[in-house]
Amino acid sequence: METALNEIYLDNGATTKPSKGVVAKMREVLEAAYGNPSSLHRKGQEAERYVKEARETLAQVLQADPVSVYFTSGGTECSNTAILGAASSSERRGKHILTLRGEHPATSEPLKYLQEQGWEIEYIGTDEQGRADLEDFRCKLREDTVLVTCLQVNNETGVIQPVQEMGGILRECAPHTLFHVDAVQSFAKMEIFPRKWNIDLLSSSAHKIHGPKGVGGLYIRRDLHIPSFIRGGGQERQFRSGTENVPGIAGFGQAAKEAWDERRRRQESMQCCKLYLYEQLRKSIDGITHNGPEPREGAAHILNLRIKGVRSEVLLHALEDYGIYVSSGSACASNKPDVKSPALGALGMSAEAIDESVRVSFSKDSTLDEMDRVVKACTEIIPMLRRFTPKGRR
Amino acid sequence: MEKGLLIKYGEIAIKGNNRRLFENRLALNIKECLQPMGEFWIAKEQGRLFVEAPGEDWTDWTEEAAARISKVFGVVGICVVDVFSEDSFEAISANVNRYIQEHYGGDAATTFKVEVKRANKQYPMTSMELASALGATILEAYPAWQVDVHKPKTVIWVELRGRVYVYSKVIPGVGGMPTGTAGKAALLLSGGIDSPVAGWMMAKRGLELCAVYFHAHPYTTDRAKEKVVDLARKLSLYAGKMRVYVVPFTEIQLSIYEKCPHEQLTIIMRRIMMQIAEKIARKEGALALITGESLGQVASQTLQSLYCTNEVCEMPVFRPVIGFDKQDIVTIANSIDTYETSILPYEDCCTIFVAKHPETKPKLEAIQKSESRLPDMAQQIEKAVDGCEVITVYRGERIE
Repeated sequence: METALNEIYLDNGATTKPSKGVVAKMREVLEAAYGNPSSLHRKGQEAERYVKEARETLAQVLQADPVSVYFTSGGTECSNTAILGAASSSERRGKHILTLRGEHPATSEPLKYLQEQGWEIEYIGTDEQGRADLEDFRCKLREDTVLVTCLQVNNETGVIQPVQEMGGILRECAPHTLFHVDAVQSFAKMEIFPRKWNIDLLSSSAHKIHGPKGVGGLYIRRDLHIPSFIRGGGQERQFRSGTENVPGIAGFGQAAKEAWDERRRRQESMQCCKLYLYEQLRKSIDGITHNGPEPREGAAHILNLRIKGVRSEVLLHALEDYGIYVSSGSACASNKPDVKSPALGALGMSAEAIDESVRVSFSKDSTLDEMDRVVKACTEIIPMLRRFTPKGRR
Repeated sequence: MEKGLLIKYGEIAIKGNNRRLFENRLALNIKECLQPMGEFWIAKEQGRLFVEAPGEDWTDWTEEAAARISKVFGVVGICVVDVFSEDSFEAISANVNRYIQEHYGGDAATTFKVEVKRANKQYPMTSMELASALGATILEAYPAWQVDVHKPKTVIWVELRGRVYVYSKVIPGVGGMPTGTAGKAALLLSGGIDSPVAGWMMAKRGLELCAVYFHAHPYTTDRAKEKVVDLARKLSLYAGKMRVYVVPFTEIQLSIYEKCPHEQLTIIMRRIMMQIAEKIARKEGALALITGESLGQVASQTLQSLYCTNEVCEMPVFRPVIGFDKQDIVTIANSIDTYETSILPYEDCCTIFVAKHPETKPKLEAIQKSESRLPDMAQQIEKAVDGCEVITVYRGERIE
């Protein structure tokens, strides 16, 4: 099924459309290089070559050694492995973990589990935009702090954490504390160099950069040993067993290469769309503000807006009639602000304000022309929706 | 020896002149429910139906067929029977003993009795004589078995009707009346727990169904619609083919919201829903409406509210769960496998436009007065009925 001509996909924080190059690469693997990399024959070796190539690409993007890159089933597996693994390997040194409020559930849920097991989870203070306060971070580091974990780019607000500075502080004050960065929203879009920046563990995912779903990359510092959770045939150097998802991994490699090579152009074009959309919306419609960082300062691909008097879920469904796809970031079953939207809840926003917030997330393919069409649709829909704001189930 | 299924039906066996009609429909419904497995042969035999495999090479079909038939309304019990032609006493006795060996192993102690029915009255022994003679041979062959004619743990049935049928275990059927023997009704299907149960209960009394669902895009997600279709698919496993009418309801809801007092929203909305459902029912040739209302469960289901809602209806409105507690309804929902789908968290049009404090004791006059602020409602209702999307479900699947 071809993408509808008039479709405007602005939910790239959730997932992205695989690029033509990625689809071609995966097709090549599926049709021809279908061997099992563990097989000794030539067909196996051919498949292994695709995996090796992808691993090298990821390593290049991270300026790391290819042997520090492990392929997994995606971002969530990476973060679970990193957090639970780091905790269990350093349990004897202490049981204190530092993190931020409003993290992705792939981080906050494993932490919640550890807390139930008796670990102490403490939160680094932030400014009003959700950015970590480095002084507070320094103060909260303790002798028994064994792990620091945070997102580089928050998936909801786009706030960028000063992970390079945090790595620097750790090098200086707590050289034994492990540092995990969830770079799912930033990998191959922005610079992040774990070796240089003193990051021990890093999570990434293919489908946020126009690669396929179901594949992730975990960076583990070379001399760091964390336990393996999936045991079996010994793939991924005994660390992550299971026959390699060769087409997915090859697609990831291709996506990472394209994203990294084009990152400057892509960043610039997304930033341009974002600022233009924000400006035009504010010009044409009252009561629109941003959540989280100043649009100029946050990640180029994420814009979180509050539209007063309009429930985001209703707006989302109204926009879908125009072929426009955005995200409300809410699980409609829940009324707890921090469950509906951990990041907006962490900013202290009320349930009502969260209910009125939408996330617009851009891709390399977004155009100013599309932004004009979004603005036009919003000027048609929003005044209509504001006339009828059901107040029943807040 | 062959295997067959003997199907017992309760209530319809005592119908008078219409009995044939009910039996034929039941046989048809059973044939239809077995169709995915093959063309089965169904015979009517004196107050029972008998199902035989389509060919001689069929083995191990009885379990799956019995599971399917147990969902057919009108069936009270299903017995897996051994069938053989030889009807001399020696042959019957040998086959009965073999049957016990196969099904009970013969060792475990139990109490039993033998029940015999003869359609063939020419048979040299009476039913009583045959039963006691067979009992004697069983006692001889299985010393651990004891006769108890009052409360036996096991009853061995032997029926002589041309051929000889032996069975002892009865798989309970769902009961009720054959679908399609009671006419048709329109079910207001919301996606909650109650309405699928209400539909199932009325289908069980022989009604054919069509369903009416109110969709308020963009205020409700298309996933809510999908959920209702999924529920209808589950119902169709029992109730047969049904059409689901998806009513575009947003415009009407917005009009009510804009012009009427908010604490009356739900009542007015439900009155309009009933009118729309009735129009759809007429189109479908249905003569009644079915709702999942349960007295006092929510504001719109108090007696006063039901009085106001009911006032617009000309057709009978069936509310089979009206006297049920929530837990009773949940139990049925679980047994018909709709519960897990019903609790998916999508908001439907009833929950999204509700007032903080809805009226629980509405006065009809006040409601009618508010409705007079909606002069275009008749046209809006027509438009909604004409604008319905119609989805057909059958045997658990959506069909085109």
